Amino acid sequence: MLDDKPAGEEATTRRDALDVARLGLTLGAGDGAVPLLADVTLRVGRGETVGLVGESGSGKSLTARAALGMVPRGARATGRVTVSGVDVLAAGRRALRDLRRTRASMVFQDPRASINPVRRVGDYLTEGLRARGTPAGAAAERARELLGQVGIADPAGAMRRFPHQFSGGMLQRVMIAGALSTEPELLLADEPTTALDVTTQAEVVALLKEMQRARGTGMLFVTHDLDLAAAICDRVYVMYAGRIVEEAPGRALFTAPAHPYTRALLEASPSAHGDRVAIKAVAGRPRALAESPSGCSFRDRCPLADDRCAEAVPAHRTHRASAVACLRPELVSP
Amino acid sequence: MTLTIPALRARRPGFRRRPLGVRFAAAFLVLVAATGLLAPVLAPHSPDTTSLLNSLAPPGTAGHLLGTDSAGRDVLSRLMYGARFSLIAPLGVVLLAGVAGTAIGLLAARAGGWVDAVLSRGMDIVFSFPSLLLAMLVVAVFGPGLTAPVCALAVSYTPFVGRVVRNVAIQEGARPYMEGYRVMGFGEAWVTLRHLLPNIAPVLVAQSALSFGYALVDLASLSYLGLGVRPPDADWGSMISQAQSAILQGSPWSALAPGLVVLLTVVSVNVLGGHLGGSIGGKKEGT
Amino acid sequence: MNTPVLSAVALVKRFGHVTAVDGVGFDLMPGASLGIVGESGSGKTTTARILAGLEEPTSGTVTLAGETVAGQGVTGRSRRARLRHARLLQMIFQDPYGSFDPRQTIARSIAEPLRLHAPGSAKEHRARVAELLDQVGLSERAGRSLPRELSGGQRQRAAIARALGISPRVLVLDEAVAALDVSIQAQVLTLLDDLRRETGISYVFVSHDLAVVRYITDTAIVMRHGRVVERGETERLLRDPQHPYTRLLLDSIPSPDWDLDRVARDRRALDAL
Repeated sequence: MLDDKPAGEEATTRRDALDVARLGLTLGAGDGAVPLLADVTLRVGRGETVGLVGESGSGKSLTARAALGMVPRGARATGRVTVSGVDVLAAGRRALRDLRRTRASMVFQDPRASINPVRRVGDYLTEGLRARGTPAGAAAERARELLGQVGIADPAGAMRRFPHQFSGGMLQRVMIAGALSTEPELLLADEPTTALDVTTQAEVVALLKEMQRARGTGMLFVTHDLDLAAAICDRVYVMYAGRIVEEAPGRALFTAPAHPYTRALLEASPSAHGDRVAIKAVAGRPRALAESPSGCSFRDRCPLADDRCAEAVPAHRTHRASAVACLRPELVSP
Repeated sequence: MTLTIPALRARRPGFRRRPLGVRFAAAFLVLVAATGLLAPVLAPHSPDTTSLLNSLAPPGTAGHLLGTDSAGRDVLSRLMYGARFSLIAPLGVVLLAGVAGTAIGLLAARAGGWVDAVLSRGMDIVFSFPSLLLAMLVVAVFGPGLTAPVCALAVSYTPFVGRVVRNVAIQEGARPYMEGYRVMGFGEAWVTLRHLLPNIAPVLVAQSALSFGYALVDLASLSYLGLGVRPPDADWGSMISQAQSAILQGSPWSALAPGLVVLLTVVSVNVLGGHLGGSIGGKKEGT
Repeated sequence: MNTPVLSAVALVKRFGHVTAVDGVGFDLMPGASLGIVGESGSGKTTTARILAGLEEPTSGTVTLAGETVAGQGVTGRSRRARLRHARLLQMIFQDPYGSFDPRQTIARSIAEPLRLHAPGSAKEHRARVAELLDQVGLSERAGRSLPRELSGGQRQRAAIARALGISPRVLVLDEAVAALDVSIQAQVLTLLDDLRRETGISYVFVSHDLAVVRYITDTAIVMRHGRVVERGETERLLRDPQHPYTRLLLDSIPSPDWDLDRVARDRRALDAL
């Protein structure tokens, strides 16, 4: 994977693409302060696909954005976020711009909302390259090449077209081409297929995986779809109410969930494959950190919870293949 | 993924929480309306008592806080009485145009098709006709007074309201709850009047506030041209008009005072209207 | 009970030159649940809207409880016809955020169709609203709330309560759980399942999600480009899909053994058709 890199760079790229350590995020200060994230620790290795799964309010998108130094206005971040060795939370405006231009890219949920509708696709793609000093001719050549790689049939023609002339799936391919044009070490994909049809989702995911594998890019794949994450990710983090409650290899998460919330999610989602099994609904609704109970955030919806769960936020412990924030994971999957 | 945190949900701001400018604007308008209403009690003099010996007294003269005009009438008293015409006439314009514009806008939006096309083009035609010119023509036919210009301005302001109502009604009408009422078997009229209208009302209020400002200026212009209220009644526009000669004589205050009041009133109404319009966007966002 | 409560025959809907629905037909038995599966542009939502009377079919007919409510021979909609249609069939929309008048409390929104369809005293209506709220698992407090104060799942329950108030024989659900979180989606699905068992209501469940359709329906039709490409019992469709498009849909659903190469093969097979 790293064969085509100059030898000097190889040593530096050994480190993780993304390293988040005890990230906390609080909006406002004093009595009115609203906590958004607490104690989020995760890492994405080079060439690794890591899933970040959660429901509304879990803080999964906030976490992904924080990795690029995008925190909500008025929010205070604590902890450490490192992207390819750059301390994102401490970095200045210039360093952040530089980081986004060269080492980390993002693909958003709605391609139509994240591309300027009155500019041609070619301009969009060459912009980033030109900003890095690539001459116009070479940038256009590179853009055509990328469009071809993401499966756009007529790259030269596509360069001259406007975003509205593409379908959602095709436009998301263009966005992926744009995100990869700078050869980033980290790709943040925030629900990149949620707005797409099922069959298109499969194609776009296949493309993302292939591009990422070929380049050795680390990918953080943010999604609400546990099945999707388990299907394509090497490791998956499950978030609930602004905290990470479980980390496990994709497959293990599916077959032997260790956190009651993970199991509840799995039992709540109907499946199109295999035998038909009844689904089990979880009582209550997903919470944000600010409205969650003391101790374990999930305890008010958890069938296994007792008084001990209210005492403190459970520390992460190892249970089988998982690192889980639960006092009795052995009751979830023995 | 949107983040919903109840603690952050914007509450409806009370008066104290609204911006300072908005509070000033509202206070000023209340003051003007109150003095107009209570003019017979508050005014230090009769607005029509002339006193040629005491003409063009400067502001601050004993008994004449804002001075007198060329006929020796007390400027403050005339301002107070003038507030009645100056506020009621544009209010009449706004109400008439509001009712007509809302009716036409709703009809165009809900009926669609050729009805919409005819009404919209009709509004375009009226819209493109200068409102003052229309008012002057009407006054030329029906004679001066307040009724003719108010009606004429109401006609030319109707598309101003109608277009906005049509656009927001089409937007609001496309929301699923509107279709839901159709599926539940409710008639078009019920849905439009009971659900659509209340939901676009804030836009209507904001738009009316803006029209009020324009109407006040237009009516003042008409009065200035001698086409509005007839003497001895006076509104602010006719006061400015009558003070013209005084300006040339080096006594600008009898024109300045009503001019300033017109300016402040229009600015206040626009500030308030803009604020009402702005707070609508905020309300819609909340989830 | 061998006559269908709802039949659609050869429905066609054209918008200008675009044919959105092209010869769609099906029967729905009392107490049964039919899925309409498809992706965007398949015509599934247009079909649902024709059933609900929100679109006029270009040709074809819709028959509800033995009476033709849309299509040939039905011109104009009198108040009587409108009310009758509403009493037989109700619809739940996808967007839980826009399904209610934002200025009215949930209880008032639920009471409104009651007043139209079931005349009675204010007290009777209040009691019925309380009963309906309870039936869908909402508290009285939720009833006193404005729509924006409720979560998406609560709003979707409220929409179901409102529709049930009219006691329709058919409920058309257009992507009714698509916008909900997984844990909430499960709550609404189990609620729908229970309601059907208790009341014998029939569902037309429009969705892009085969897994959800499997849970909530007995039979299903698969639509693509306005046409029905496959129909049958839902379990059979999933276990033994005949049409290449159904196969593509099924293989496109992520699972631990997801095979993206197979999806690509399905796509080629479909394109070769």
